[in-house]
Amino acid sequence: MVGYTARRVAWVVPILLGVATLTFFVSRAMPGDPAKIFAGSQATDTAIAAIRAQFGFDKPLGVQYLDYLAGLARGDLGTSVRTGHGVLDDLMGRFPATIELILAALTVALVIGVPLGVAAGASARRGAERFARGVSTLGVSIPEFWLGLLLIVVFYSSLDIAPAPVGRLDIGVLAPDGVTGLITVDALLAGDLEVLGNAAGHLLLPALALGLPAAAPIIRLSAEATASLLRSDHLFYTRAIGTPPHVVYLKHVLRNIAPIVTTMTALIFGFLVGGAVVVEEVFAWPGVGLYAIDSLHYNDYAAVQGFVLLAAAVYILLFLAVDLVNTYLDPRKRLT
Amino acid sequence: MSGEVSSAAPPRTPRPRRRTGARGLALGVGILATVLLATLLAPLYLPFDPLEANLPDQYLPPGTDGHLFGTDRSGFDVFSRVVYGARYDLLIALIAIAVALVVGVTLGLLAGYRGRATDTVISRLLDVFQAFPLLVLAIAVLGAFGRGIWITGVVIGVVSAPTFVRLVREQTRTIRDRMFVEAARCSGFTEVQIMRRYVLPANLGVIYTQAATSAAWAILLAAALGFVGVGVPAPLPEWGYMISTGTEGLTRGIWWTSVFPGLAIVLLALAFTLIGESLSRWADPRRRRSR
Repeated sequence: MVGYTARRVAWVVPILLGVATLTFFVSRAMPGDPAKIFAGSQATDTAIAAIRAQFGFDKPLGVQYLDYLAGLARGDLGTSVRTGHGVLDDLMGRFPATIELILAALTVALVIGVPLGVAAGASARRGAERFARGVSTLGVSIPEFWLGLLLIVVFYSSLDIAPAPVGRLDIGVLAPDGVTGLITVDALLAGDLEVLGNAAGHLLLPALALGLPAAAPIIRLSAEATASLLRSDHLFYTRAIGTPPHVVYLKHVLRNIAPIVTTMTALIFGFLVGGAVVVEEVFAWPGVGLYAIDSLHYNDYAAVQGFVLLAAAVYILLFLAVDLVNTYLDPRKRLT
Repeated sequence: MSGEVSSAAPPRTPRPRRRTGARGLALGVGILATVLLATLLAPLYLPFDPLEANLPDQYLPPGTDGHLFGTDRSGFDVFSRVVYGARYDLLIALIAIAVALVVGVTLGLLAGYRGRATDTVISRLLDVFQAFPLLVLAIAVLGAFGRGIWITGVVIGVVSAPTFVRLVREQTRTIRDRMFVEAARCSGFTEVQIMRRYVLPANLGVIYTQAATSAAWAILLAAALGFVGVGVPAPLPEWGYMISTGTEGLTRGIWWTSVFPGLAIVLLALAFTLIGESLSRWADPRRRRSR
């Protein structure tokens, strides 16, 4: 087990190196000169050349690449041409917003997905199964960003019960000082109900836009897991001895499908760090995705590379953690 | 279920269901055929030119003056553009699937059949690729190489390919050492012949299924790229781009410019998803029996 873990962990570095390399060269292939954009339209050629030298864009590509890797090894992701800050600081400042959004979306997905999936898997009637299947089929066919727009039309433009789809708080409302950076959690810890309500209101629509489609795979997975579980000898016996249904479902079914649903949820989390980009754009949600899109428009190499690395690292580490936990829990998997 | 289990029946008796997904398939193919016909025949019956702006008619609500879905900022007829736009999104999906198939199936066959070093190299490349936030990668690549229908299709195809590689590789590994493949090897067939005649056909079920699912995904990704502004170039009525220009009036209650193109996306993605799901039940007899 120790050897297996070590081997798997050791793979993370070359994979991230591959991601960094590919991103580096793709972003250098983009047309447009970030130094010119940074300097503004009035800048002289000497000023642009100075900026180019400052950011190292005047060196040969190979040297820039090696410099970049050397920086990465020191934990330095470079400097953003657009914001003028270190990319790592920029990303860390915005990452809590993205995490808050994803956690809220996953909550939506689980609250809807698990009960619906279990009900569909357990029901002998076709209607329930067909309903769940229909919902999940529809879920994978809806673009999240459009769902977000639809929610804005209904709940902001028409009904006027949601706050303006811009950012995490109303203008003038200050975010509480908190350790987590998740405004809802920080407000709760500080006992500030007004800020909590404001932040939750802003969070609701983007979380629905991202979470409803994410419920689709969870519905499907829990329906299939429940159905096959109910056919097992274990559950057959449990039911045969007269265990009441609520015990069967709450204790036996939920406990048995929990690992596989947790695995799926972790993978969706990893996927959403990169996948939330367009929803962040729609709601002007100040997370890392919006940062990446804005940086792309400015040819801000370092910032885009930093975002890609962050998303990839989160995905890889979550995948690794899930894999290791599952291997630990199920020794049969260690052989492969 | 509980009512059907008698004391004589073993607990694993499959439920008496015969669902092969034929209805879903028919529905999916039906939607697809309708959309295809509607968009190809569009020039024959559309009342407005999808590429002709008419500024005085800006933001007419649906139903006014024969504008079924209303008009947008430039006075474009939204219905004409939605119908006409289907050809672009379909073409992108088609190109994407073709690219994903060629790249993905080839690499998957090689990795699965050859094994050893070939497999290791391809699998590790896959690890790198799958860690990428694909949407951002696609945006960056399109930013680098310009915009257009073909390049959008190719980029989406490349980012869709890994799924095919993984599926085909796994399937191939399970049949690589089966008797009929071994017999072919003994008969002196070349590696390419064996892969084409014996290994590939055994993969087709998985491949068709994934192709349909990936087509749905390609439609969604193309729309997202168009929405961000790096997909199909501006005047062409691509749905994602239409939605993004349509959002300008959104907070003023002008919903039709972005809602209708979105519905079209959902419809087409839904058609491909339905086809994919039906094919997956058809391709996997175990699933055919159980649900």
